[in-house]
Amino acid sequence: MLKVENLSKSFNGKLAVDHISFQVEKGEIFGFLGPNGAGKSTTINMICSLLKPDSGLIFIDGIETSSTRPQLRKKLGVVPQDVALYYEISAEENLRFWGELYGMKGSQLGKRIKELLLFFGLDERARDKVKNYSGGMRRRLNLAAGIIHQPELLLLDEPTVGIDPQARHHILDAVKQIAKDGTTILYTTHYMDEAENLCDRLAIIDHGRILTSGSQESITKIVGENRFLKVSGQFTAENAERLPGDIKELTLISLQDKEVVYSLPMKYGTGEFIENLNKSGFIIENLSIKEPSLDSVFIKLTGRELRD
Amino acid sequence: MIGTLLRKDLIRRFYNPSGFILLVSLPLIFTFLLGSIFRPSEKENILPKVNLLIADRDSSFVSRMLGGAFGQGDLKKMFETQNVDISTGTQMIEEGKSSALLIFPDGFQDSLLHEKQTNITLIKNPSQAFSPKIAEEVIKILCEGTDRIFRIGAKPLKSFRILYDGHQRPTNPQISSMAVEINALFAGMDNYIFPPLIELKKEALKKQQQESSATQNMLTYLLAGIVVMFLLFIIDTMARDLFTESENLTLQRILTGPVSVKQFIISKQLFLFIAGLLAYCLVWMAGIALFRIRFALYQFLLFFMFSVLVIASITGIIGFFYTLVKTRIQGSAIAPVIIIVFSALGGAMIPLNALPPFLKNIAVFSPVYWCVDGLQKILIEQFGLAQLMPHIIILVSLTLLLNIAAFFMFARRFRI
Repeated sequence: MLKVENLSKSFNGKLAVDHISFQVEKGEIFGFLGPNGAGKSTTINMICSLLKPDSGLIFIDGIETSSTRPQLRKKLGVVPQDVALYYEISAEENLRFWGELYGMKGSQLGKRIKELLLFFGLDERARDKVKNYSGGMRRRLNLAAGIIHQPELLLLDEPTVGIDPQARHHILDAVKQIAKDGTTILYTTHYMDEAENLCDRLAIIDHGRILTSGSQESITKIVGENRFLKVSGQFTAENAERLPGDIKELTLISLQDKEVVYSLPMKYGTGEFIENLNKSGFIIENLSIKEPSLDSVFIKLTGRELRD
Repeated sequence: MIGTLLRKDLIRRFYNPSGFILLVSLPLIFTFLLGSIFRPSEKENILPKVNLLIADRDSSFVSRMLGGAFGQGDLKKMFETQNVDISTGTQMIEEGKSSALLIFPDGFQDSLLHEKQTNITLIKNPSQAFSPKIAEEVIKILCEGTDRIFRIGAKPLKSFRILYDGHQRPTNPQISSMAVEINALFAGMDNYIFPPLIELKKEALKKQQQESSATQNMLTYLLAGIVVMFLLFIIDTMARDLFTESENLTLQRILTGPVSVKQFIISKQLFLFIAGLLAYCLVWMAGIALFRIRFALYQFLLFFMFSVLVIASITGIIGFFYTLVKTRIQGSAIAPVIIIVFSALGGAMIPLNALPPFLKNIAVFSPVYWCVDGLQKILIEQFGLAQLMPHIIILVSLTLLLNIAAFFMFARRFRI
């Protein structure tokens, strides 16, 4: 459904997206996982033609997007990161406008509007002005406006940022339902749990580059049967580098001023590791342990946690 | 597609019309206020009333009638009277609380009926310049008028005096004789009194019509300028919506759909024109009703055509201005200054005749001048199409040039 080849974009000489390639199959939810500033939104903006790539090609349904944009855009639904709606008119009027923009009209549009208002639990306040809605309601309407025309490919740019857990669950359920109805979804997020629960396949992106991609199982295999131990406190670089020598298979992943990350096979207990730290003169201020997960994959690949 | 975008903007604007109505009502309020200040009939009321004290020591029919004349008809508009005794009146004059004190002496009516000379006294407030003078002039006229009445009516008054002095009931022949004399008196005065009175009424009516027409012309003259100035403000307010859409990311979202940047910009330019046209029509409809402006059909058609041109050129001016600013805040800070300068120079705020000569010479460089001057020439001087050609050519050029420039500059700015 979507194919991106060697896509890159730079702003003021700084690469925001660095020659990335990936493919999203019809009907799947493809996750784009990465921290803020990783290049997720820039990639989405290039796919939906808001930004012109410096290089690379984008294919939607096998058609290269730059030449035949208007026709292809009807196949595309976009839900931007920030709520992009008209606050001074009602939810119904908003949906009517976005539907008409994609060529819908008459009873077909009216029926679809009712359907969506009901689906997103907004039917009782359909005629209220959007400015009187809560943050969660606006997010739901934002999503509804993106799928009013039943797009074949839906680009969701962090649709759950800044909302309460209940509203977030509502949106995630809706996304699953939209995918079940046959829409292909590209879902960007920096929430590990969302990617784990929602996506069939995903790509981990950081500093504009795709670090790895594939199914969750294949990605988690990168870290194998290892847990990640992040120690912060007072220590010397020499001590930190020497420590793995004391425990077989302990691997130093990253070393910063007051923080060091190790990878330790599951067969070793953490007690032995802490004992070794004390022996080596570490003054431990904080120790966090990550079991094998997407988060630990991110640590393995970047040396830092996703939320850092 | 453009229709959908345009409909959306109109719905957004008129979902809550209070702001729009307020904007539209402002030019009418301004015109009304300016008209109230400058209309000729009101000018007369700008002068304060003359405060006249009356000390009537005679308390007779004639003295009361003369004193009461200041509270009747036109004199009532000029005078404010108060009955006092002489000492209170003198004290009030000394304290500067009144303009003049008029004293009717004892036996005033008796003297008149017996054709004896009598005096009325006017004490003027020396600290006031005009009001005592006005009182003096009016009282002189009243004295002269009273004198004439008593001289012309000498014969019937003589009969009346006999009855007045006799202290007994008059007989029927005496009353009949006096009635005949009074009738003969009025019959003799017919030729002198009635024709001028009829003529006076005619003149008064004519004067009223002229005054009313002058007032209407002035309000129309003012309204033409003020409408153009407020049209600039109204379209300016609407034009900022382009930046609002960009800030709220709805513009970006629209452009991810099957809409081109050019379609979006055309829809915005059309929206500015239509919103401007609606505001303009509402103001003029209210203005025509309130200020009773009258048109001949040809004049109305010319006015309508020229108005469309005015709105289109203002859409171009504002649209082009916003291509030169970077943000909505920058635009909203600079636009009012430019609008006020253009309006002041173009005769929208102050009539051009009131400007110093060097400013009059540069007025033609303000686009507002061509709008306001054209409208005033149609409405006041009844200009025809041929006489308006310079205005039309300039406004058509401005409309085309500025709207096309704005279109391409915005398209370049939002180009992907």
